[in-house]
Amino acid sequence: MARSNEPAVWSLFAAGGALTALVLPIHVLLFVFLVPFGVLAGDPDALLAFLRHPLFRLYAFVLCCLGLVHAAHRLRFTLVDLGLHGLAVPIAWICYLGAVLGTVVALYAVIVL
Amino acid sequence: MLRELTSVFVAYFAFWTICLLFQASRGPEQLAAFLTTMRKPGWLIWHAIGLLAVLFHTYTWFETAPKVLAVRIGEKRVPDRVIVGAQWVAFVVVAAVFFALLRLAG
Amino acid sequence: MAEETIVLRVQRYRPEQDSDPYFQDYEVPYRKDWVVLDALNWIKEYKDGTLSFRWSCRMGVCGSCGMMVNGRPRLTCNTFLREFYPNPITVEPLVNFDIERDLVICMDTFLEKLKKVKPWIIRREVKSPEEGPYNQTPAQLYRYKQFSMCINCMLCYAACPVVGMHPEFLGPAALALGVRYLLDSRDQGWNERMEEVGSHEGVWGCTFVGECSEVCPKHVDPAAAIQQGKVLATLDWFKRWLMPWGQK
Repeated sequence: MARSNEPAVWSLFAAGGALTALVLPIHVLLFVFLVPFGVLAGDPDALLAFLRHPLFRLYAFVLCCLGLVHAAHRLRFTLVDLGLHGLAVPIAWICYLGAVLGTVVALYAVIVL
Repeated sequence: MLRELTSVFVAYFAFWTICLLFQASRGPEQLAAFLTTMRKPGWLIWHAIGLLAVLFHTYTWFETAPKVLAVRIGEKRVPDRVIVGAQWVAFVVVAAVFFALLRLAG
Repeated sequence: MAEETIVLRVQRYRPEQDSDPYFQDYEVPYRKDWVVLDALNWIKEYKDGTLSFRWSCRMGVCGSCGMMVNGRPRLTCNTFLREFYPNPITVEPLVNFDIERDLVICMDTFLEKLKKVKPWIIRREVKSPEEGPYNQTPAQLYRYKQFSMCINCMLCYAACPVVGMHPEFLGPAALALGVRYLLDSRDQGWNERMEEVGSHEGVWGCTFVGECSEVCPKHVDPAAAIQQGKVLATLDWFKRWLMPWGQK
């Protein structure tokens, strides 16, 4: 059996898992709950300025990219484990292509922001 | 299996963040409208479930980290709970920093 | 005074006379200090000499007596009747293996997988006896020691859902053993071993369910070994692609 190229995607999966584990709960709490209720960054222009800051754009892009690869990798194995063994290859393609597409869209979003 | 399914919410919140950015790119009125929609009960319930899911991801990830990285000081292995604890400390620090940054924003 | 008894529901299968496995109930004496293996030996001695099962040391070090006890992979020499009394105890052969006879499974596939990781020190530069032993500090020993404690009982293979779904997966014990040698400072066989350990059927078949470590009676923690193997395989991969000169 030959060495697999899995490390290429596993390292992204691990980075994505670590980043989202560290940051995603607080990200959700802040942007999905507290900001909409005006608890933080209540002024829309101030919020916009915050979101447009290059560091935030970078952060958002990295979070989305790594998070999507992490999710794609996990979903790929989960779907196969749930019984779809024969479709293992197409499932892998669909999951990772989804992550790549999402990354491209995220890049576009932070650029036009 | 529950642990694996948290990745669905990780992907979801990535897409949600992208939506936030697209709405923001359309200007302050669109951004405000988007945030108003997010206050609706349906979205709040769905997102509360999502928040629980990503917190579970954090919990399970932190618990398994000591297995992946066998940290040693000389001969002694650093106890698992120290690694787990250190990650939670980092989590709290990051949370405080994010909170402070948004506070400063407005 | 009536003797206390407990029922063992044992899976039988004799290929020369049975078309399918079936269950046979035995009522055995209940003793607080008896283990399932004691009950099986009592059955074989007093009730049914045709019952076949593997055992040896009866003290949890040989790895022979692994079976499914009430649906969980256990060492029957280490599983007390009092844990289940007064309820009946179901005893079946280890899952994910072909059955040879009654509670005896065919372990050929397991032995093949062990051989695949080349579980011996591989040297490029061999010392002559006069040059002395290959020394190792305690710190170097502790790097791999836990993973060297495997008794090949195969409980982890019965517990692993991937082994059940993908028979070609090398499995927890073989991979823990492979990582044991990758982490051994005396070993110079990184490249050869990585071909198997770092393959699709090696560490990359594992989805870190973790059941293997839950059932391991010797606390080897094969799940941890495999995840560390993934890190090693990843470092190996990056080194080969980014720094292709100089192989280990």
